[in-house]
Amino acid sequence: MVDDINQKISCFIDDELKSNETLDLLKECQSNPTLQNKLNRYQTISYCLSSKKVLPIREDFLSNIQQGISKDPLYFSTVNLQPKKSYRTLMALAACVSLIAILILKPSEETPLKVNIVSSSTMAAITTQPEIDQQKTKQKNNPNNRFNDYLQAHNTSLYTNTAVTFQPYTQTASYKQN
Amino acid sequence: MNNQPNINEQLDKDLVKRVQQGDKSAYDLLVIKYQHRIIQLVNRYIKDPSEAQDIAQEAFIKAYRALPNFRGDSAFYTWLYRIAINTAKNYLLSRSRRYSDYQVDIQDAEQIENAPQLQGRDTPEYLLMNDDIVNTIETVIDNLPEEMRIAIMLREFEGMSYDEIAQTMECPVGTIRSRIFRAREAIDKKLLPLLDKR
Repeated sequence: MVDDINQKISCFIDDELKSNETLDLLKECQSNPTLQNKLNRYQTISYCLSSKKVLPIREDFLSNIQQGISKDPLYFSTVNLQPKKSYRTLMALAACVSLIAILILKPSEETPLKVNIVSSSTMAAITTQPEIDQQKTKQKNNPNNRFNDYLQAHNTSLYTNTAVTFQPYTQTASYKQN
Repeated sequence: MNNQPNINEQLDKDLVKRVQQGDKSAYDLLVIKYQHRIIQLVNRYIKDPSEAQDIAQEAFIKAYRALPNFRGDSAFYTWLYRIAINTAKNYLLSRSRRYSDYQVDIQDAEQIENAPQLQGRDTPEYLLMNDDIVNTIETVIDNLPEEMRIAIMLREFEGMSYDEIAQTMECPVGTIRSRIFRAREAIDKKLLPLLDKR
């Protein structure tokens, strides 16, 4: 039985153990310091044969590391990461849904607005016809408008306000000469 | 059987995952698995075996603290290897600054492996013990039965896998496994009193 385990240690050093056997052996070494020492000695022999150098491992090597990390907090990084990921996914999903909702709702909001605008302008057109007439008479009475009307009637001025009455350069020059 | 890096990588991934989930004992298994390789690696930079082990311990502790950030993009050992090298180089840089005997900057750190004056020196006691153990091992190997001696030499000196040795020696893999183990046992029996003297 002991020989079997020792033979496994020998195979482990040579990377000749299967994954599950390696795990079992490591667990046995963890719980049994004698096996751990055996492993260390086999490794020392192996290294010595290949390099002619002796590098024995201290017996307290593992326990020193255990002491070093004993005060460290337990890490749950994988556990912590998963909620973060799902939280981010949820946020992204929520953002997408809200964006889609905005895109869908936006035209339906604009349509009534347009309707309102059209209806209001139509209503304005209907209700303010007399007002437009009044504005026209006011514009007619305005001295500037009357002046414009005069200039348009004489048809020789550049000071008219529309392109229809814009005169060619020759005519303008002749006007200036006059 | 020797080409099992993927299987071992999977084992490492499982152990790393367990550590990340809060199972500290899984980290012990990773330490047991890689302690010797890391000490050997650090020893290339720091010659004193005792110091090399201190630095290897520091590297393992650093790796544990950095494990939450390990995403598994590379193999665990590759990642641990880098941490160990950086820890060893930083140690040598800090030591060189402390004694200020040698002017070393960050760029020079890459050359440390080739700078024996920065690696520390072997003590006479260590050299004596080293010679003693190496001679003992060589004597034991010389006195091994031929089939055991050839098997362990093909494994240790030629780096052959059990399958390759079995093909070379024309015998089953199980026999090779047994021969190599018995050779190691024979060396271990002779070595135990010497290692206990330390």
